[in-house]
Amino acid sequence: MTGLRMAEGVAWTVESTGVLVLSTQHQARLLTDLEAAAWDLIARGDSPGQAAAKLATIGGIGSQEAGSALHFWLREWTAVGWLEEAGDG
Amino acid sequence: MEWKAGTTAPPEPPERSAEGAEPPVLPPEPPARSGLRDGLLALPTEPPARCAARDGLLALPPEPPARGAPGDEPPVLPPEPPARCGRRDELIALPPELPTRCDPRDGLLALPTEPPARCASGAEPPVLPPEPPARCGRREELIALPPELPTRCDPREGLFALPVEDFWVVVEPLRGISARVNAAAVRKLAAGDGSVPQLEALAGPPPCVEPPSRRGPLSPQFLGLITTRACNMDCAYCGFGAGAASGGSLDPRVAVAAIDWMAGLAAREGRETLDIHLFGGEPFLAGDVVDVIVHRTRIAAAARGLKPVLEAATNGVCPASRARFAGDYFASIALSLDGPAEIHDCHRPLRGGLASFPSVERTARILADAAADLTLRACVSRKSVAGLPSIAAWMAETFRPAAIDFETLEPTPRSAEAGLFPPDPYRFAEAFELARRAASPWGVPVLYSASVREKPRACFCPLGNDAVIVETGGSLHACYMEAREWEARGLDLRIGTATAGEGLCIDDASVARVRGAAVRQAKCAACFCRSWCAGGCRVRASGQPESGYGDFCIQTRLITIASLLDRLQGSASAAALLADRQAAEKLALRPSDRIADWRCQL
Repeated sequence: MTGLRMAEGVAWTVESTGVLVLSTQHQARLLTDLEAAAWDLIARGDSPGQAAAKLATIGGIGSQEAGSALHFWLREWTAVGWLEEAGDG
Repeated sequence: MEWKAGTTAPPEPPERSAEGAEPPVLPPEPPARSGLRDGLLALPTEPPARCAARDGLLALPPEPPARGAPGDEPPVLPPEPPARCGRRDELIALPPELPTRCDPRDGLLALPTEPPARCASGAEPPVLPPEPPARCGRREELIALPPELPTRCDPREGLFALPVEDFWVVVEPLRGISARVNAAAVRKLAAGDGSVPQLEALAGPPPCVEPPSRRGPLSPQFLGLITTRACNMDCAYCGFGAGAASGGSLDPRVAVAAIDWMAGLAAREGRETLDIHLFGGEPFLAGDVVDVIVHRTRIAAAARGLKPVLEAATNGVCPASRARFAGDYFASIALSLDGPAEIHDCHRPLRGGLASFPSVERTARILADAAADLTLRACVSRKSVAGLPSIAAWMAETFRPAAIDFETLEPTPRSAEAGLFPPDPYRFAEAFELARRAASPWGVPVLYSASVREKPRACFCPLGNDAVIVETGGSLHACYMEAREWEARGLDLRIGTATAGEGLCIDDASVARVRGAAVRQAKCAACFCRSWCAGGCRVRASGQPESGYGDFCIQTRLITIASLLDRLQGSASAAALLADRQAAEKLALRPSDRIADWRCQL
């Protein structure tokens, strides 16, 4: 899954307990643990491949497991409108 | 917290006035506290007001007319303002001594010359250089003990007295007490006389031990991670070997193992925080490693109910996105900024000689608006020392940092080649005091690390505090300097290894060896700063003369006494002392500050 970017109207902030993501279309949600790390990496511009490699180390899990988890989250974030296709880019 | 948004504009940063490097307008001095500027005869007429034991202003009833200056009436002073609770700075003035052999023109400070007495240890007092003449042509008598650490419980041990103007500052660092006293009080304290109630807080019962050296299992206050020794700058005075460093970075799996070890230790010891500090080189050059460290720290902390506390020291030459990341996730950032562009770029060019100031200034502005505490750390050279007050004011007004930290340049062959030298320690102390005042209108503290008096220290640096610093290759060190720096001085500060997937292996014998290397220098025994600066950097002190005060000691002593004076007398008094070179030299070079070393007429 490539070519994703943060959708317009989405904002997020770092809280001591995780990452709070807010969009104009949807309710705010606090991401914690590995999902919060995944959001931070993607939102700051890592490719899914880069992010998955880091998540494996951060979570102490295998790279396949990290890749699967990230894939799941990317689809979910796209479904709720936090991410959108990057278009031509 | 700063909001990141795809298209949502972040809130505008607050407007700043008068950006740029305009010379600061110093605020007027705060009004003098009544009575405190009037010398030793200035005694309030109020009975002593005490907020709590040892706090507040302690003063005896008015003195009878002074012996000196016949015909002068003691001044009638207004009552002291209410004592400030919680403070341990005190004014203690005792009634004049019974008639002594002093010249009647002498003030309370001057004592008659006596034949040399034996010092407390029984050793013959050394021959001292003549001191500058005291008022009325008299001399204070000082007996310097051979430098040695205290070995027995003397009520006067740990008690220091320094003559300033026409009074004395008595300091008890281990209990955090300082007092302005007259000569009569010094005599009683020197005699071990605790019978005067006002002196009991100072005279006894004394804490007879210094802050304890580390014993038992290794218990670091923080975990240090060197993410890379590489650096994108070419500082003229770099002492961290960044110019010669390889581009290698810390294995993120090793970082994870170390973080997990530290989190487990913090949880077992019942701490509330998981403290991780990043050093370099430039730590943010290893951005991928930093990402892993930050998120693993947060996850490991959350799993154990700890609060993650991340700190980093950075040169600030990084993309704006990385600066915002640091501002979001780090509790504290120490950013190296030596001053406005003309100073900063001379001290700290990029590789190839390009200017680094624009990038560093941008990072400073981003961090200034972030949640992280920003400390601006400036290296002071002979070139920049005169401008410290204006640099401090500019930094305080422009960036509103949590603190400004001025440290003097450590000379290297390379810095000498570049024409950069450490400042004269007297000029540095004087400029530092003016800088401290210049930043005060913005409420920004100006620090010099060796004179921080928050609490007594057994050791100045990580070395004596059980530090665990993970080097890029996984070796565990007790110091964040490059190994070649301490190896060249005959020190071995390795304490173990960190391995991916296996955790940390710490060698107890090495820990014991390092703790032994952290013992305070013998020359510190008679210095009133010894429990605050704790002898300074152990690595740099290795191989230095075991006696005599060098530049580090001189500036530390002067800045510390100035900070004490500031609290006791007001900043004008501190500035006046440091502006008087002769007076500053007399104070800075005293062989002993210990009150037990003073031979006083009783």
